[in-house]
Amino acid sequence: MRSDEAQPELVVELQDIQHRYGPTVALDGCRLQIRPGEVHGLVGENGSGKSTVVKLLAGVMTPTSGTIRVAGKTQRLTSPAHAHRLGIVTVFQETLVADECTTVENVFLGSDGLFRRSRSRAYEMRAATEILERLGLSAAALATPPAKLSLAERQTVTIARALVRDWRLLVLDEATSALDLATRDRLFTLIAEHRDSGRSVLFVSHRMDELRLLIDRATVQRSGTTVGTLDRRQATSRRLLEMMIGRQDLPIAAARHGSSGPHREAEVVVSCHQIALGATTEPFDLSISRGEVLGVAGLDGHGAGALLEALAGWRAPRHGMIEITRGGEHHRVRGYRDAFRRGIAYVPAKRQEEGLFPALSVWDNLAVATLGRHSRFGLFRTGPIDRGVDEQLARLGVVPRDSATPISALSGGNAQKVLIGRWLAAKPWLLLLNDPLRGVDLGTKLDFYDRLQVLAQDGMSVVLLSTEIEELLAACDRVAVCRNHAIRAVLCGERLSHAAILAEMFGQPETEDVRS
Amino acid sequence: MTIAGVIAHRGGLRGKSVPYFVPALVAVVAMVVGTGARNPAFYDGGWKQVLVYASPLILLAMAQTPVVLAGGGGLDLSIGPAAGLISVILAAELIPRGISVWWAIGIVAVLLGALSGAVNGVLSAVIRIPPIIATLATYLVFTGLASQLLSSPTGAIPSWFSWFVETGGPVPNVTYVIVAVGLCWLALCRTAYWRSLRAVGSNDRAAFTAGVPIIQVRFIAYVLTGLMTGVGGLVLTAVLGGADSTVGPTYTLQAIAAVALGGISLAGGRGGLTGAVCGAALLFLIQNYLTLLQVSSFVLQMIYGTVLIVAVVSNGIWDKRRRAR
Repeated sequence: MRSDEAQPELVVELQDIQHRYGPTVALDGCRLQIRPGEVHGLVGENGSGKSTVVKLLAGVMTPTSGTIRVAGKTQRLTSPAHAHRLGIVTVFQETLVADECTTVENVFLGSDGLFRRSRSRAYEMRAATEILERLGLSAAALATPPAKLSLAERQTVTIARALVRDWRLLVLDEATSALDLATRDRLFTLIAEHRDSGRSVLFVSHRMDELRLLIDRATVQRSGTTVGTLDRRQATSRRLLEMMIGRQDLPIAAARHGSSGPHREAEVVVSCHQIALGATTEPFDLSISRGEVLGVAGLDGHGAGALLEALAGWRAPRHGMIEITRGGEHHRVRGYRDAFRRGIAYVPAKRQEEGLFPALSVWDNLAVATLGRHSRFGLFRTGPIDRGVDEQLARLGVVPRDSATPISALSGGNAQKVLIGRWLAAKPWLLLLNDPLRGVDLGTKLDFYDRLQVLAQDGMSVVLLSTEIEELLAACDRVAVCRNHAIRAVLCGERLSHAAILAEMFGQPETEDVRS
Repeated sequence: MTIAGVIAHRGGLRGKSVPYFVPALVAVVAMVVGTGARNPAFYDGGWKQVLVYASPLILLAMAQTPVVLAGGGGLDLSIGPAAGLISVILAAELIPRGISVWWAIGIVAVLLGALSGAVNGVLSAVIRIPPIIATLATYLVFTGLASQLLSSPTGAIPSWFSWFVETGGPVPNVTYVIVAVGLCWLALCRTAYWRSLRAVGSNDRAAFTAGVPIIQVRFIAYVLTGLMTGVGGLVLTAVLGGADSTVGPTYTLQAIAAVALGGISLAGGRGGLTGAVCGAALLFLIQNYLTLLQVSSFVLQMIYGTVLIVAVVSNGIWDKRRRAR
């Protein structure tokens, strides 16, 4: 499986790399060989060590043991600047832009000496304009301060920063997740050109469609160890997933849980009457039943997120009203504190910015929402809190189970579980999830869908916003599709399909199903 | 595109609608007008004397700027004591030993400043002790050392020092010193360092992964602060007409207040010497005006504090609106 034949002219080779963060072993027995002129995929679940590989190649840190060879020579990549000199450039998932510098300055950030400029201002302007135009950024955007650019535009700037260097290997760490489709396609065209001119790309992604489109070979990581490298013909989605998860009997995501479950009697717990999310948008109705998993789909900026925030009491709808029904009584939600008190839990999308306390432990992160219930005269009774925390960790299958672990040591998927556990500990009857599984691997997702179904069977209603249609198909009973800040359709049963959701999202009934 | 946008696009205002120091500049102009209205002699040459007395604060506010720009909690509490110590070393050690040529004194002052900056830089940027702690430590060391070297104030300095405080020309001579420092800074702004400094100050992770050597950039910021502190120490000696080991430390908090008043972001990345000069001038003019009104020095302190809070908060609000999408 692994190509062990002599490769004298490898661009980069990682040999038996081990890396530890304190006691945690992030990588052990990691091997990677990147040939000139190839796009090499790096896939694996969260916690499989992909990000660590990226950081080692970027020069952000050096491995605990093992050898990194660049163009055949053993190197210690001591800093990003060092990696750049060796021709390795990296684009991170985070959009690392310095807001106080201009866009052009951001593109050429770090390419100069301490005092000496390596290029003239005019050259920089020309080169930046050229590369950003190739990536689809307008001249107007170039003159805009980076703080005012959109997320996709900011990510484009960091990609341009890598491309203007004299590089041999471009590392893209989930760098496409912030891009819009048009920019992503332009980037892929550029990548193909660079590959043809003999440069190499290490492409780290969760998205099978992108991987299938681009890669020449793919290396699979599992739990910090390299499982193997496949070439393009072998690297089918199914084969990659099997290797990532490490089991042959892969339950394909499309195996619907929702439709197979028992039909639940509709006891409406939330009803939205003629609510409008914007000043001029169309009003709509929506009702949520006890024990259902309702999906919310929609293109970015089409109101799906706003709908969740309205349900969570974060912001009231412009018109209409949202009524909740509990034990035969009707209430209107006034603000998010009221919503939380009444048993509505909202898990926001940006887990790093809006959810987690990065400096604290798993225990702290999980217990924070329920501390008030277990305190007397301002003092905590830790016993019930401990039990509650352990219960949630077990229920959600968080790894590691030790609640004293710092949250920053957990992978993205596990950190997300802790965040959800925080709200579950408050025992809500309505759980609102805003794209909880972005950037989470498939194994975790499958596990997560199962757990959602269990919650629903216990009588909880779940609203799941997702940017991935597959996920909605796998996890939801019904899917509400938003367009122009209103719900255009609520699909269920026979009518619930990939093509139907896409069609409603784009407003074209005849949209072709991209999967078929 | 808005008019400001067009200007920014054409004029290289770094893509920003209004430069950060404008509110401080407007306030300075208002204070000048106000002071003149109260005291007509201010226009009639009185401003020159005010400028001379304000010059150590102006230079030390300028000195404070690079470390604040470098971000990461960058701050130099020790600049007041460092300037005082330099003044003491000149007056109590060098001059009594017969070293009194102006250029020798000038070089020693600047080198001592650079040395103090390098010490702070090693502690803060290289060893990465939080700057507020590292420079508090050097603050105490410099203060103690100055008292040790000079127990009572001295006035025995060469006569050439009075050149700085002469007000006979079109502007007081000390203005040329401030302008010279400003020109050196402008030259620095034309190097790659300026971009790196702002990048490190506004997002050090972005700068680091882009390959900017952030430790060196921050270390150099401390050295630059030290160099300007050296000039400040020299001018302080001239303005005091000697050396006094107790004067230096009082400048630290004023210089930090001046930087904040000047619109320089204490979080790093945004600002420049213009803001520092405006902030220091503003602070001194307020002090001068209130003294004209014969306000007690205790009330003065309270007004300082209030002005500082108002300035920082309004700057924050203004900044937020300016960069609203």
